[in-house]
Amino acid sequence: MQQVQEDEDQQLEENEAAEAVRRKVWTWKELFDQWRRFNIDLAPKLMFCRGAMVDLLVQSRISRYAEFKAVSRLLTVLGGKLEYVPCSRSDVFSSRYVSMLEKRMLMKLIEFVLHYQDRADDYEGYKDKPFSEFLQKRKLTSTLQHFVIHSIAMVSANTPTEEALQAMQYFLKSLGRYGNTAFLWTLYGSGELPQCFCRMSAVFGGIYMLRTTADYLIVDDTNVCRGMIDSEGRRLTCKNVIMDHSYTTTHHEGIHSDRFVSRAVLITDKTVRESENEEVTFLTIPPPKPAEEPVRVLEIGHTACASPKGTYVVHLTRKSSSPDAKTDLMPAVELLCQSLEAELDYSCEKPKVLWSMFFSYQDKSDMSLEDLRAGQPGGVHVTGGPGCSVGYEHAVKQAKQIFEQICPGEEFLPPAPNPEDIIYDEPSGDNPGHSNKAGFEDNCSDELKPEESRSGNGHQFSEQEVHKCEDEGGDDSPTPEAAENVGKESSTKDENQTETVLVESISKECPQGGQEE
Amino acid sequence: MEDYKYLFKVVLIGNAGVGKTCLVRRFTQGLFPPGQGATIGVDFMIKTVEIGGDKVKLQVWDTAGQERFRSITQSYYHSADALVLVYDITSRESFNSLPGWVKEVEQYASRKIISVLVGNKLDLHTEREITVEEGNSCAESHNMRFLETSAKDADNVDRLFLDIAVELTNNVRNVEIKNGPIEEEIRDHGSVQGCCR
Repeated sequence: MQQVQEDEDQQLEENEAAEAVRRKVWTWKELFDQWRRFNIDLAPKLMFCRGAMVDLLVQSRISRYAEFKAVSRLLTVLGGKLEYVPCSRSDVFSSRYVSMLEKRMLMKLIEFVLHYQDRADDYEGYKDKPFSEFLQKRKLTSTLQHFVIHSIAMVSANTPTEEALQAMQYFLKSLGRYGNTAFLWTLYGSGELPQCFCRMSAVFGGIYMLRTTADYLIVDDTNVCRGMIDSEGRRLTCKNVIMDHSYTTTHHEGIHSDRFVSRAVLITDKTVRESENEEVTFLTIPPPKPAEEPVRVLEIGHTACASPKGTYVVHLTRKSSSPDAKTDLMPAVELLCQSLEAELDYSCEKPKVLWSMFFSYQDKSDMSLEDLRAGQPGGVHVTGGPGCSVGYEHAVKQAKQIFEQICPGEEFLPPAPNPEDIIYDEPSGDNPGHSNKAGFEDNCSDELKPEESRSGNGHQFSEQEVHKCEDEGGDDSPTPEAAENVGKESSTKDENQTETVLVESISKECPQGGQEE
Repeated sequence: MEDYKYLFKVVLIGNAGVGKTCLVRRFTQGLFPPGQGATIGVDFMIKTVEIGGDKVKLQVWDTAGQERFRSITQSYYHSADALVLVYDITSRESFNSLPGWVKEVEQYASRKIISVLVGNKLDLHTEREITVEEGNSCAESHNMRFLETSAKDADNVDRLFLDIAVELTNNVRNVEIKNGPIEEEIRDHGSVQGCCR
């Protein structure tokens, strides 16, 4: 089987020369045979170079577990065509789309925004007024306003000026830290990040399990969570459970029930805009009307380890008020690509979509932790999901808040020691690696297996049983603290989706970055 | 700047308790920790060796106990240059798990990776459950090198890692000389299909 694939890989390479002459027509089999090389994120996100996630990775030294690639170009749609967005000083000067006069205006704006806090007089009157009015007052041309609003500040024309200035400053400050880019992309995808946090957790004794889900919560008479039962029927004792809102049975009546994220994932045979090198592209398609939502597009290819050579993975993301991704995103797909239905048109420069997927999920990322966990037993923490933000700012903030609730006063992800600096004190006793019991009870008797209860409305266990369970867990377990805290996340990589349940030690909080179900 | 010419990432995998950490520590620190518990706090260890006049830094990654629930994530295998799959010659169970490990490697690791099958705990040969022949034929069927080691007696441990270092160094040098793709050089490992060339 492997040999077969390798032969085909070779065949592919050989075909490359011919490909240069005539555009390659992919067959489903060719694509499918390379499944191993696809890394498709359900909720891809970028890291601002000076953003919360990069700072966290650097500070905790978790950065050593991943590799990164710069987002190499920022595009926008101008007059129906894809154009480069000038964002840094050098971009501004070399851009063909802005006149000399505009260059000066844009440079002045950039200088102002970098220090806007010190120059309150310049925007005082516009603080709460729409950003577009402020830009109008500064006499920016419509092209410049377009660049600034949609691609640099990444806000909408109606965003209050102060908020927009803050967003624009965040972007500008990220430029130059790792070259002429504001964003980094994790090689192999956003799904790498939770793996990095897991690794760090594992190195210091945390346990996590792949291919296992948490099926039931165990709740005591006082409505406090005491543990859970996993999909293997094992009973885990814990004091805290962290889970995504989609696992809860409460639906937060009325709160943000009309907020959705529309997503599309395309596999294409060609980049949206030809370039000398393979690029990691971040494209904003502005809304047709100011009140509507923009579509954010991320295109990654072979060198970003997202897909096999000659193909690209294109992610489209848009805020929405209904769970109808296809309606929301089809215009953008049609703008960028050849028709989904028709055969490959050789005369058309646009990429051909080889495979596509549309889906929606609820967006509760703006809800407070208190609202999210309303109606849950004590010890249960509910996260708001990935939302549709470009970066991880919100995920990091929420992870810190939950960590603070569980471990008040503790430092959040302090720097890990360098491997060379660790001094070992030899532990004694049996190798717990031989035991499967760490933090678990193996044989969960039938009466302890609730049949219908889902998290939240759970089967009630008596205090006595629970205590018994905890005691035994403590005695058997070489690392009794390891199952204190259960973070539940599902992350996807490749085509074979693995659901990940993290059982982490209490001091190793894992942010919810870049995932959803 | 750090004083080395090449840096290679070597990852260890295999069932819990087969002696992965002991192999790493024997090689990098020259000691055998008695009665060691499941691995905590060991991320990777580094040893610099000299291969034909060049300083070569080996970064040897341990599983950090992630294998206990078969929960080694894909990212552990990324950018690994060599892989050491370990079983315990006194444990049939650890040997029977090998096909599962091999499957995971084929799924996640680069096709360029150099892999070695290691039967550890040679010092306990009186309790041996897996014969040398069995180990050898398993390695052959998966295109892997094969070696039996004892982390306790330091048998074959240096040889295991040095062989890897030599082979990786040769590969890189050949590439440098030819200034082209590696295609022919590591043929005996099957194909040269990395996912990120």
